[in-house]
Amino acid sequence: MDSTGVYNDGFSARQINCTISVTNGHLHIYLQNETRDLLIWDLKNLKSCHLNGSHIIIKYGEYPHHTLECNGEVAKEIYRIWSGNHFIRKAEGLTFSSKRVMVISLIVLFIALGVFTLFYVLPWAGEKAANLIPISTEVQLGESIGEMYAKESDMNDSANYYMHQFVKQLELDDTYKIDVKVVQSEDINAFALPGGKIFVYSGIIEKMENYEELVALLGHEVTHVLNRHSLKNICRSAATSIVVASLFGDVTGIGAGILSQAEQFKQLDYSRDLETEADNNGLQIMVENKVNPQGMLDLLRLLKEEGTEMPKFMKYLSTHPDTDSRISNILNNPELKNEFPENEKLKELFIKVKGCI
Amino acid sequence: MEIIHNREFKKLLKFNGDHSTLVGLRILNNVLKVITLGLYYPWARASVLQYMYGEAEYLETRFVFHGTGKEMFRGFIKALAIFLVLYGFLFFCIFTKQPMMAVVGGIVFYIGILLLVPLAIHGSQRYRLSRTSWRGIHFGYRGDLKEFVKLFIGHGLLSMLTLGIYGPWFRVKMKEYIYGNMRFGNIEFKFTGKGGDLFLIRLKGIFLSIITLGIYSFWFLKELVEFELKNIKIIQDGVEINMRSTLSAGKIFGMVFVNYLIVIFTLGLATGVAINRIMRVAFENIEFDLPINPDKLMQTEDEYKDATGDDLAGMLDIDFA
Repeated sequence: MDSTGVYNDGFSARQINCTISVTNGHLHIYLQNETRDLLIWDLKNLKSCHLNGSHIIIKYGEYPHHTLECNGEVAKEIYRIWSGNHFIRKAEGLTFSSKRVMVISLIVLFIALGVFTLFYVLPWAGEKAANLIPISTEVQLGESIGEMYAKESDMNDSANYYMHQFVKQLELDDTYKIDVKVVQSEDINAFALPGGKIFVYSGIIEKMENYEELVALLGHEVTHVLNRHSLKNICRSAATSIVVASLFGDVTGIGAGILSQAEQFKQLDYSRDLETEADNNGLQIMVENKVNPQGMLDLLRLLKEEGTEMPKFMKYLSTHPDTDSRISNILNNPELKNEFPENEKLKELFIKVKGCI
Repeated sequence: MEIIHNREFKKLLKFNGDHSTLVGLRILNNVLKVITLGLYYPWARASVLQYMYGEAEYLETRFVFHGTGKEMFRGFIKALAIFLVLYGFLFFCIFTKQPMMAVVGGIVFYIGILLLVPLAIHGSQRYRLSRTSWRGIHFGYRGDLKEFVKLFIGHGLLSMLTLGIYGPWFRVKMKEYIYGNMRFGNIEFKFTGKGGDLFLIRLKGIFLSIITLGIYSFWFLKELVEFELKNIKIIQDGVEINMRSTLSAGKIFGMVFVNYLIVIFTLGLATGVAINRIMRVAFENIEFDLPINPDKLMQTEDEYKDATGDDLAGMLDIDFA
C-alpha cells in the first residue's frame, strides 16, 4: 500500500514531500529531497500517533521528534498497527469513528448510568458516609442549630421543667441524651435535630387529650434521632450535589439544575419512608414503656383533624405521607392490640405540662 | 527599516471539528468519569485537547497536542494533594474550636488558594505550550515562576485595593508578561495593549450593557475580542505579523442564542456541538496580514512534561490567556 505524505525533520518547519508504505509493521518513507533518503520506522515504537478522521500525524525518535503526516487508508493502517491491543488507545480510536449506533448506545448507557448513580449509588454512598460521622460531631451540630433556634423562639420554661420530668419517666435508648423543649407557638408541630434535641410546639400539646399521644409524639421524634434521619438526609443531599456539581458544573448550570430537581423528588420519597419508620418505631417505644399504643392512632387522628388535608395528588410533593396512609399503616401494626394499665405518674406530669401552656 | 503599507489581511486558520465526534467523545468521557468516580478526568481532558488541537489548522497544516492522560494524571494527583493539604489544614484549625486558630486557618487557606492562581497560570502555560506543535515545531513558555508570582501578587493587590478599578491594567500586565515569554520555535510574541484602553472598553461595555438591559453585551464582547487580537504581535525575523477580528455583534448574538437552545433542549448532551460552533466562528473570524515563513521557522524549545499547572488551572477553572 503506497501513499504520499509530508515529513518534517524536527529542526525546521520546512516540509519534505515523501512516498510511504507499510511493510511488516514498519513504515518505509522515501524522501523526495535532494538526497532521496529512505527512513524505516518501527510502528510499535512511535512516540505519538494522532488520528483525526482519516488524517494522521505521527512522531518518531527522541526530542525534537521527526514528524510525518498523511491521509487515507495508509493513515488508518498505521493507527491500527500502533494502537495494538491497548484499551485506552482503542477507546480513543473508537470515538473518532462517527458511527451513529455507537453514539446512540453511548447516550442510552450514559443516561441509564447517570440515573442509577443519581438515584441509588450517590444516596447510598451519602448514607454510608453519615454512619462514619462520630456521634460527638452530630451532637455538636444539633446543639449549635438548637441554640440558634432557641434564641429566636419563645421557650416555655415552666413547661420545659415538667416535660423534662415526663421524658425521665420513659425508658429510651441512651445512645443520645434526649432533650425535649417546649416552644410557645400555636403551630401544630414538633421536630428533632441530630444529636438528641427535640422541639415540641405548645399548639400540639394543647390539642392532646391524653399522655399516650405525647409519648407517641416523643417516640416518633426519638426515632428520628436514634436512626440519624436528619444526618442521613443531609449526607444524601450533599453527596448528590457535590458529584452533580463537579461533573456538570463546568459545562452548564442548566443540566445540574434539572438533575438536582429530579433528585429532590427522590428525596421526598425517601423522607416519607423515614416518617413511616418513625411512626412504627415510635409505636414500638410505646409498647416497651407499657404505654397504650392507641395513643399513636389518637395522635395521627388529631393531626388529621387539625392539619389542612392535602388533595391526594399533592401527596407526591409532600415530605410526609398523607395522614390516612399513616393511620392505616398503624392500624395494620400487630402491636396495636397490646393493652396496658394507666401510668399514673405520666398522666400527672402530662396534666402539669398542659397546665403551663 | 521595513515599512509595509496596506497589507492585505487573509484567513489562514480553519477549524475542522465535526459535531458527532465531539459529542460522542464528551459522552464517552462522562461515562468513564462516572464509572471511575472522576479518576478518568485527566484522560478525558487530554482526549478533548488532542481532538480540539488536531482539528485546528494553520496554512493547511494541523496543530498537535502531545499531552497524554498519564502525564496529566500525575499533575492531577499533585494538584489534588495541594488542595487536600490546604483543606486539611483549614479543617484542622476549625476543629481545634479556638477562634484564633480558625481565623489563622481561614487566612492561610485563602492565601494558599490565591498563590495557586499564578502557579496554575504559569504551570499551565508551560505545559500546554510545550506540548503543542505545528509541523514538528513546538511552542514554549520561558516565563520565570518567581518573577511571575511577584508580578501577579503586586498588580493583583493593587487591583484588590482599588476595588477592581486597576483590573484592566493588571490583566494587560499579565498578558504582556505571558506573550512576551511565549515562543513558537524562533518566533516571538508580544502584547501591545494599553490598560487605559481596556479600562475604557470595559467602562463603556458595562455601562451600556446595563442601560440596554444586556443588548449591548454582544458589542462589548466584540470589542474585547478586537482589543485582544489587534494587540497580539507575532514576530518572525524582525517582521511583525498583525491579526484582526472580523467578528460582528450580530455573529456573536447568533452563535450565543443558538448555542443556548442546543444546550438547553438536549439537557447538555449536545454541548459538544456548541463548543464546535464557538471554535468555528472564532477561527473563521481571525485574519492575519502576513503568513509566517515555515522555511525559516526553527525548533528552539526544550521538552517539558509537568502537567501540575494545567490540572490546577482546570480545577480552579482559570483560562487566562
